[in-house]
Amino acid sequence: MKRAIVLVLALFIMLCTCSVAVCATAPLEAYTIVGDLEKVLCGEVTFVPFDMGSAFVSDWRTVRESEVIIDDAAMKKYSSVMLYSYSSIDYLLYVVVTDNNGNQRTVYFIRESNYAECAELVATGEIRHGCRIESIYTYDSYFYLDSEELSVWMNTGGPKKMSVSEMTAYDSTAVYAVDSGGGIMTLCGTLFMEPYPEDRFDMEIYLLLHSGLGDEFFDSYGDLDLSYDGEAVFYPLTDGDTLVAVGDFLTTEPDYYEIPGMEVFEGLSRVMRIMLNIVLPIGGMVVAVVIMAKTRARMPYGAVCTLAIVGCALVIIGYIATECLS
Amino acid sequence: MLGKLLKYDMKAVFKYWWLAALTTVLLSVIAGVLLSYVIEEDAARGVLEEAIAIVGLVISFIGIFVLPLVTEVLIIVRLYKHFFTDEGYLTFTLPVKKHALLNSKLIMAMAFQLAAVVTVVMDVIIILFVGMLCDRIKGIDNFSSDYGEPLFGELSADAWGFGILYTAEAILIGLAYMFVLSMVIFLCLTIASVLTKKHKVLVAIGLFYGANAISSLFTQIAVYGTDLNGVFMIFDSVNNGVSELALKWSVAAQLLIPLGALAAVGAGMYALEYYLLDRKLDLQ
Repeated sequence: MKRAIVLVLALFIMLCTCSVAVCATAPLEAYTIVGDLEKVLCGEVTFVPFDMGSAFVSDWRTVRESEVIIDDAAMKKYSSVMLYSYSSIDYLLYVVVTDNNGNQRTVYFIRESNYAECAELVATGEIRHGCRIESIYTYDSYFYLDSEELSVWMNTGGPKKMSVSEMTAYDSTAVYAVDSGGGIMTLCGTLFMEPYPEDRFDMEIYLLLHSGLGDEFFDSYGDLDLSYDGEAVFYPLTDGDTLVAVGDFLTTEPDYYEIPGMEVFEGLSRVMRIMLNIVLPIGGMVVAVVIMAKTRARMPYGAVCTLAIVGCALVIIGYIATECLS
Repeated sequence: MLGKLLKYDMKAVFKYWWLAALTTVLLSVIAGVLLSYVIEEDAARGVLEEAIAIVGLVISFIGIFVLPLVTEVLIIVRLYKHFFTDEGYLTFTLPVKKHALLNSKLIMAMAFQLAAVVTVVMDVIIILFVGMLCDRIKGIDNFSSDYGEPLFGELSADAWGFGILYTAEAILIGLAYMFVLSMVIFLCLTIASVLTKKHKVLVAIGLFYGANAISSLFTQIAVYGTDLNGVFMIFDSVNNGVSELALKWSVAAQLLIPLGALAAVGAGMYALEYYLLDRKLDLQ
C-alpha cells in the first residue's frame, strides 16, 4: 500500500514538473497594439488596419488572444480592447474596442504584405486568384475554381447576351472572388443552372459577373434583380471536365446519414407509442374503476381514482389529437 | 382540521427554509455583480482577478440552485419525523383522518417545492437586474444588450394566445411533476418503514435511487420511442404542408400527454401510499 502511494505521488510530482516545464518553455506570441489602433505588431510581422467593406472572412472560428500589449493612447480611450485571431488564417485578425460610452467597434487588421492584393479585391470585386461557387443546398460548402479554369470557361463558351429576367426559371447561387490566401471572400457574380437537368454532361450553366453591371440590375438591398429586363453578358459553361465537376457539385445533395434498420425501429416505436399512449392508459382506467368499486369510492380513493382516470383520458386524447393534427 | 395540520407542517419547515431562501437572494445579488464584472471583457484585467470572480460566480450559482435540494431535504425530515419516528406514533393517534395527515404533508411539500422554484426564478431576475444596474453605473451596455432584450417583443398576437395556452399547460405539468416527486419521496420512506424497523432512512435512499433508475429508464423509452417521434411528426408536418394553426394545436395536444401521465401516476402513488399508511404501517 505504501509503495503504491509513493508511486502515485512520484507520478504526480513528475506530471506537475513536466507541466510547469512545458508551460514555461511554450512560446508566447504577444500582440502589440500600437497607438490608437494604428497597427498591430506580432513578432516581426506588422498588421495594418483593413476596411473589409462588403467582403467577409471565410473562417468563422476565432480565438481571443490573451497576450496583448496595449498602448496608453488606446488604454485611455477605450474601456475594453480585445484582439481575436482566426484559427486557420494567419494574415488576418480583428480588434473589438468599447469606448467609454459603451459603443463597440470592430477594426480588421491585415498583414502588411497582403494589404494591396486584398484591398484591390474588396474595391473591385474582380476575380484575380480564383473564385468559390456556393452550394445550392448548404451555405458552408463551396466549389473552388482557379483563375485559369475560369478563363477557359469564359473563353471557350463564348459570351452570350441575354436578358436577366430569362433566368427566372433557373436555379441560382452566389459566386465569390477570393484572395490568394483564400481568407477573404467577396460577392462577384451569380451562377445559373438549369433546374432538374437530365444529363449532367449536357446541362446549362451560366455565369454572370456583377462587375460592369449598372445599378439598375440590383434591387434596393443590393441583390441581383431577376425581374429586370435589361440584357447582360452571360458565360455558358461548355468545357467538358469543368462542366461535369461543377454540375456534380451543384446537383449533389449533401449525404444525410441513414441508420440501417430504421424501418424496424420505426415499427417498434409505433407499437410502443400505441402501448404507452392507448393500451396502458386504458389499463390504468380499468384498474382505477376496479379500485373505486372495491373501496366504494371512499375518500381518498374516490378522488384519487377520478384523478387517475382523468389523467389517463388526457394521455389518450393528447395522443389521438397529435396523430390527427399532424 | 386540515388547516391546522397544514399550519404546523408549514411552520415546521418554514423555520429553516426562509434562511436558505434569503441566502440565495443574497447570493443572487453577488452573482449579478460578478456576472457583470466577468462579462465586461477587459484585456488589462489580471488572470487571478478573473479566476477569483469566476470561482465566486460558480459558487453563487451552485448556492442558488441548491435551494430545491435543501427544500426536498427539509420536506423529507419533516415527513420522517412526523410519521415514522416515535413522534409518528403520536401523530397517528390524533383525532384526524389519515388522508388529512397525508394531504397536509402533500400540500406542504408542493407549496415549498413551488416556493423554491419561484425563489430560483426570482434569483435569476435579481441577477439580471443587478447586472444591468452595474452596467449602468459603469456606463456600458454589454449586459443589457446581451440579456436585457424583451423576450416576447416580436411575438404576434396569435403567438401570444398559444403562448398563454402552452404556459398554462407547462404550469400544470410542473405542478403534476411536483405531485409525483412528493409522492415518490413519501412512498420511499413509507415502504422503507414498512419493510424495516432499523435502517429506514438507508432503505428509503436505496428505494429512491431504484425509483429514479426505473423512472429515468421509462422516461428514456417514452422520449426516444414516443415523444421524440412526436417531434419528428411535427417536422414532417412542416414538410408535408400541414397548416401552421394545426401544428400549434398539435403541440398543445402533445403537452397533454405528459400532463395526463404525471397526474395518473401521481394518483396511483397516492392511493398506494394511503393504503400502506392505513393498512401496513406498524410503528410499535
